[in-house]
Amino acid sequence: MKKRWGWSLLVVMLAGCGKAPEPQGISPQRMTDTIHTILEADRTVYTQQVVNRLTLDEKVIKASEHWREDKALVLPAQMFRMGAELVNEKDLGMSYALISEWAINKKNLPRTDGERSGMQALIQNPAQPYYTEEELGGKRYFTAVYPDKAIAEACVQCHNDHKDSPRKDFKKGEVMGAVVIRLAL
Amino acid sequence: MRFLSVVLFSLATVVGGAVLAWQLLGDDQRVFQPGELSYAHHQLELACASCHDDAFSGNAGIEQRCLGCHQADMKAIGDAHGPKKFADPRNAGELERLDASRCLSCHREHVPEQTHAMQVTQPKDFCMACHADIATTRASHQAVAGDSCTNAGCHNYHDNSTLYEAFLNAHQHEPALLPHPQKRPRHVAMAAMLTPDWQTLWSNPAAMPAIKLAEQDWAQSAHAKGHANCSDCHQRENPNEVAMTVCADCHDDEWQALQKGHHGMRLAVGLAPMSVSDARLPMHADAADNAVSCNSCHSPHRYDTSKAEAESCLGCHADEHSRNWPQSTHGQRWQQDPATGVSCAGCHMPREPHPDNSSQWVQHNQSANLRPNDKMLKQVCMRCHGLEYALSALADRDVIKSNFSRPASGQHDSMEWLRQQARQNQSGVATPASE
Repeated sequence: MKKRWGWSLLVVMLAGCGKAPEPQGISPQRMTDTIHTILEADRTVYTQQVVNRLTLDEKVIKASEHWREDKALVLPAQMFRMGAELVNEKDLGMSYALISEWAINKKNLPRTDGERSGMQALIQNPAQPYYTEEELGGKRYFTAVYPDKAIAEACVQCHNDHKDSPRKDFKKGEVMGAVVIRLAL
Repeated sequence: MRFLSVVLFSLATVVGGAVLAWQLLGDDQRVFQPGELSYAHHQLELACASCHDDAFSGNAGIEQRCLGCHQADMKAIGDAHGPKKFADPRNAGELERLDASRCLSCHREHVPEQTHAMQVTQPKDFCMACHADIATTRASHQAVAGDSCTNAGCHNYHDNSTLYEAFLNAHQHEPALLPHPQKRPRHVAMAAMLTPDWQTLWSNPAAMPAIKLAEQDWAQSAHAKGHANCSDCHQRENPNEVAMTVCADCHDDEWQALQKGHHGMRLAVGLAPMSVSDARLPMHADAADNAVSCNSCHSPHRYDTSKAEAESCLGCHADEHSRNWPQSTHGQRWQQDPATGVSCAGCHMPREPHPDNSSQWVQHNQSANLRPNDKMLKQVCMRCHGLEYALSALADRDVIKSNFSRPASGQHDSMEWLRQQARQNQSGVATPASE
């Protein structure tokens, strides 16, 4: 009896130690926002200062889907995906992808519930990123979806002219797709 | 009686164990195989450790062995379905249907009854695991069988660098034989002529006639043009023996490539060189004891590429395709003029631009452009033939068996689909957006 009383007292003491500790470190949302800022900056520079300048303004080289064969510049979307694949090789628990409601390659259509909801939310309101949590392959992820806009004439021309593009009326500044960033929780 | 049984059982156990241990420690461990290896790997079956490096590492260890041999090539070709393509969690649903991020998901070994072309052990329509919607996203694929994706001239799972729409369209309407065939000429860099230094290696008068003959051959070779003197290959201690690694000292690219193909893959894992009697392809019986070495194809002193281009090959290979070569158009033209005809090596060990620099080299992995065979198109076939004619030839097993003596149809479905699409686009007929 005495022993049981002692355990009860210990439980009461521990329960009264206070609130659960506040999560330490950077929040998943701040983390994905930061990553997106960097990705967007690099993507903008490559698209505007390399691809758009050299292919449309100065016309010294072309950008091609078959860049190796054509000895041409890598398309901005390919550049983005190549970087994402290199990151995936590091197995950091972080990944990013480029998706679109009007994807040329149908494998890049929104595929998960989070991607579908996020893409629709951004089409309705491009100013507000979409955040959610998903379970994929038995793991939980914090998923952030950001708008991907036509930041150069090259984006618009290429997608509007591509035979496999399901949409041919993009205008500069419009949302063409979305950047999805995931953090394993 | 019971005592006798125990004694016999113990004796059988000891003898059996000793036999198995002898096999395990010996040069031939095939007795432990649960099933025959695939054609691609059967050269390695003598040693379990070729793939099972660590008995306790399981499939993960085997995967590492796969990558040890194949990863560099996969990276070089930009593997269209490599592991990094599936690493994003958004692919989790597809990976549940078919875990394409692992070699062993599609290429299991020791299951010959389940093994298809390209050593694939999945059902032949495995592409449908992820591309089941292809009929709705591409109208041209509505009537296409799900097990025909990798037919020659359509899609390649790993190396998709040859076949894509823009490339096929760029080569529409080419004639079967191009007006100006462009076979790559032989190119050997020459330097100052060397003076032979055999006197420091041989002093036996009995050997002089053979040495003089070798010197005459050597003097005509590229080796004499500033590349290799006698003592560069022959060691003073045992001058009559020249190891393959001696050749590799200067010809490292060729040596590395040799070890990736059927001729040299045993060397890559530390096994003895392949013997002709171990080959699964039909071979000449009198060549059964031949083992692969540099000299089995190349004359050691006379740098006679004509021997290495056809004569050496046909000294061992006796399959229908090989036997038909001398009478084929390719073979007849080569025998008249090697500069314009097509030898065995012309297709299977072609002269190519070196991947690391602008120079030309001879691809010494004879399997490289056969996985699958339309990898041969750009570097070989299309130097002389139009794309569609070459595609149709490579897709026809009987034409290949005849060594291209039988004319190919000259027509291929992939090219026809693209022509139909172009006609529809021109006439304004509505097609699905993706088309």
